[in-house]
Amino acid sequence: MTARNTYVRPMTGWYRRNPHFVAYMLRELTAVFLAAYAGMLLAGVIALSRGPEAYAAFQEFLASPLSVGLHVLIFIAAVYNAYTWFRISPKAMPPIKLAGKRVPDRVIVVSQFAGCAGVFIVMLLLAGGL
Amino acid sequence: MPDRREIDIEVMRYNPETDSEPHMQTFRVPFDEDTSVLMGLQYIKDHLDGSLTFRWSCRMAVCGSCGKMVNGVPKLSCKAFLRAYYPGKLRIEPLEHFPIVRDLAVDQTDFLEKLEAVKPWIIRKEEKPLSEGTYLQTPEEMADYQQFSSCINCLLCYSACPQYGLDNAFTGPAALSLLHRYNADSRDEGKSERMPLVNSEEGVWGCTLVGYCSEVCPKQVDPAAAVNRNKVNSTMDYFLRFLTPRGGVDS
Amino acid sequence: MQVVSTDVAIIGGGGAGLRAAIAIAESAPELKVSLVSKVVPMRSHTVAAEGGSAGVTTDVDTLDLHFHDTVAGGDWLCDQEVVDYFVEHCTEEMVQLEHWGCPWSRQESGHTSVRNFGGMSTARTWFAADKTGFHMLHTLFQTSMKYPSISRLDEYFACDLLVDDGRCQGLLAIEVATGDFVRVEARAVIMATGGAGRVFRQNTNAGILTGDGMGMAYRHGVALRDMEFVQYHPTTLPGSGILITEGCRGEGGYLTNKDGYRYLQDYALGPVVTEPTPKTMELGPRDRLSQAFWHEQQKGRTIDTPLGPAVHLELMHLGQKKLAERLPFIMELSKTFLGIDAASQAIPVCPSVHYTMGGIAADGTTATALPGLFACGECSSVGIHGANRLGSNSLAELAVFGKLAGENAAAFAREQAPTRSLERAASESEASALAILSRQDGTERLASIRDDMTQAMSDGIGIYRTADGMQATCDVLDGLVDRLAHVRLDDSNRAFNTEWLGAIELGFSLDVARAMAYSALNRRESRGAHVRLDEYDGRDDQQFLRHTLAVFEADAPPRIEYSNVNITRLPPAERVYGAAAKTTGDLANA
Ligand SMILES: Cc1cc2nc3c(=O)[nH]c(=O)nc-3n(C[C@H](O)[C@H](O)[C@H](O)COP(=O)(O)OP(=O)(O)OC[C@H]3O[C@@H](n4cnc5c(N)ncnc54)[C@H](O)[C@@H]3O)c2cc1C
Ligand code: SF4
Ligand code: FES
Repeated sequence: MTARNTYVRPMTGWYRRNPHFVAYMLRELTAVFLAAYAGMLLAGVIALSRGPEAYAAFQEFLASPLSVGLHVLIFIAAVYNAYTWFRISPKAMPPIKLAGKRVPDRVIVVSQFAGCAGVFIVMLLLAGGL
Repeated sequence: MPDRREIDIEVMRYNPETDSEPHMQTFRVPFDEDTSVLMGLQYIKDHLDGSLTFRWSCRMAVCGSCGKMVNGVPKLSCKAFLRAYYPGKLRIEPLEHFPIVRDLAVDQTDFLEKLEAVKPWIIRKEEKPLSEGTYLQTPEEMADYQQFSSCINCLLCYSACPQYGLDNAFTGPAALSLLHRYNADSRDEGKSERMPLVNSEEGVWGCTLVGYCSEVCPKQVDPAAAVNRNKVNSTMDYFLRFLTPRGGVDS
Repeated sequence: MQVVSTDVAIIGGGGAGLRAAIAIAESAPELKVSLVSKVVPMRSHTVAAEGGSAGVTTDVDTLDLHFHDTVAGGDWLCDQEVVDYFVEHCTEEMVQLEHWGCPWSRQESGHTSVRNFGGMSTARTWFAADKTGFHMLHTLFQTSMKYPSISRLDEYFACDLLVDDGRCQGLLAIEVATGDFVRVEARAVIMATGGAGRVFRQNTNAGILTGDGMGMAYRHGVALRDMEFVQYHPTTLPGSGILITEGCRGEGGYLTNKDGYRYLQDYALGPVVTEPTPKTMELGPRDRLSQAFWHEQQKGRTIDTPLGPAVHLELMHLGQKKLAERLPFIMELSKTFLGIDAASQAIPVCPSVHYTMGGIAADGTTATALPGLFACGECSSVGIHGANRLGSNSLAELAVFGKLAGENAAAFAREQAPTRSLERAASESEASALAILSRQDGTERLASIRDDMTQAMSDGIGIYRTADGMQATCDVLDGLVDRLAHVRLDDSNRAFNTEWLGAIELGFSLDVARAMAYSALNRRESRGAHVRLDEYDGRDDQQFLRHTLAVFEADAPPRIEYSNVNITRLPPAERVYGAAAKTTGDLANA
């Protein structure tokens, strides 16, 4: 088929057109927060290497409301990121078989969340115990 | 007679002989519980404006002809019903990311070329003679590819894929699903012939895992799974090529 | 006008056309093949076939039994030599499809399975869940892509055959996207355009099945054979006619009336059995089951639904697991189109037009009376279905005879001198197609002519027929031909003008409808799917064990002639099912 004068619609603003695309862009955006967190860690390491004063200043910064706010944001972003990836992870891995039967996608997703929650609880307990 | 209600259907019109760009036109259409979106369009064509152009054929959700954007969502118009949109109205556009030929009909040649490029046929080093009967394949072996073989080529997934819209060099969800369907078939021995396409930029790496393709698929093919499983295959293929002299995962 | 020069042109990209194309590519790779289809091949209606495809497979089955079932099922109007060829080649074609990747349903051992089907004495129907046609078509389409000698003209609408010197030498097509005409010159042409169910109101067919190929051949003097035999499928959705496969009954589904009673026992199909039993109860042949529905309706024992009377198809007792595995598409269709879960609720069903047993008259080699023209698939009548087709014989047919048509057309093409210039013939048909588009003085709306045709056909050419009813239909159709000459289109553009193509299609449909109606009117007996309520309510072998031939007459109703049926080894006998068929059933277990 050789159609003539076909019309190609522009893609401008495509990410706003559909809730799925908005969610996708948000997921991509979480990368910025994760990068910010990596930057923060790096700053801590550098401060440490510069001596106790520098590290104390860094600790002070960590306790500041700005930093706490930022961490809450980063935490939310990280959870959202994990959530989106967990949801699609069964698609990204070869089918897992148990006794010849394919493990349903839902089971994989749920067990990832369960695992993550478990680790989180253990960490909280550890942090509380210290 | 069941009660008849009326609904407004706004359709995109584009006539390649006279128009420089599409415009919308609204029709009022009677419907009942059983009226599909496709039947709504047929009503317009039969009674209101015979020039409205759209594809359809089986009207039972299996030929893959009748995909349209319905209120921004890619749908089979024979499988969507007007009652679901009432009392609101419908906005029907041609499938997103494809060039419009006329009104709701898009140009599907690009997909057909991509389909051919994945070599969607059984490749064997040696064919078994027919007199020796069928190949053996257990139901478990079949399960490895069956869902990917149920693609009806309706192209909804392409309309759900912004990466394809941004750069249509990307082979895209359905064609990659069919590629995977043959690679995963125990009778096939052609994986090494298909891996170069999988590995290439137009192959699986064009996918950023938006995942919407699998949501809109009317046949639960889950094209996103096919594409992303092949990212794993492609990575393995890459490393194995260093390890084995003749290269490639092939079994 | 653009010209495409090829060796073999195939009109139709369904199962039959694709199988023919591959057969040519394999048997004669040096020949160029052009596959012309008004829809991209995988959209063809073979895609909708659900139940399965026949081929003798199990130890208890024999070619003889398949032969016997087919000939008796066709009420002896089958050409027996052709049936013999057919049953001998079915299984090999199913194996071939398997080698090409068709995902036939399997047993645990890895071997392919077969299921029971109506009118067959034992399980011999190969199936891919309940999407058999879909998988066959996609397998053939995708496999066809590997042959460089096959080039496709996707979305090209064939509007006429080009005949010169008494030989079919090509076709004229309209490129749908642009409206441009293309002359395809070929040394041989294969017609594979599928059925014509769309000439009726409620049917299981796709919108594309308007009988174009039958109409084209017919207008060039090739007779349409046995057109009065139109199959009503007993289980389709009221209103839409969407098919609910016979596979449901093959797996053990029940048909019940409004009292929950398995009414088929009242129509010589009993005894009542709980497991699927060949040729018994729900596994009787389609003509008998549709007739039983009609009687139930007369007795007021059907169920009223908003879209018309129905009976219940019960699958509930088969269990969720089996339904999901064997009938997933039926589950999806009931959910989508009825909003019900067939695992817990009965499906309302009624008969709808399904299949055209007749078609373009061709011999057992698929050659027609017009040299250079071959025909296969549902548009053809090669002689295997007789007065009633058995379910699962037609998917097998399109493979067996598609291949044969390909090979024979290739052999024919090799012997022919290059095509002569067909310019004149082409420009004449171009002009008549364009005349429809440019007509200014028309008054008739396309849809209203079409609706009147389908209504008349459903009224007069139903499950049961009377002379008066058929005559009335013939009269309406004659009038519609005139009205179509005064059609007025809303759309005067050339590019993707589906209204214009629809008008050309309706012309073919009307010719086909008239061939059906006049053939029916003239068959003064009852046989297979042609059953009369008037004084001709019995089979009359003396006069009518003959094929009907409808011959085209310009500006007049068709001329009706008859030809002999080829009977070799199974003399006509009574068709029996249920308990009476026990003897043949025993044969199956012998
Ligand atoms: C719902 C349904 C279920 C069925 N289930 C079964 C089953 O279980 N078992 C069984 O044995 N049989 C079944 N049948 C019957 C069987 O599917 C058909 O007889 C068979 O598929 C017909 O195949 P075909 O290749 O002849 O035609 P189709 O597949 O109908 O193809 C026709 C082709 O011709 C082309 N064409 C038509 N007109 C033109 C034109 N003017 N120009 C260009 N191209 C044209 C179309 O584009 C299309 O490609 C079923 C039929 C229906 C409707
Ligand atoms: S993968 Fe699904 S959405 Fe995409 S073409 Fe196939 S059936 Fe349609
Ligand atoms: S018309 Fe065939 S999928 Fe909708």
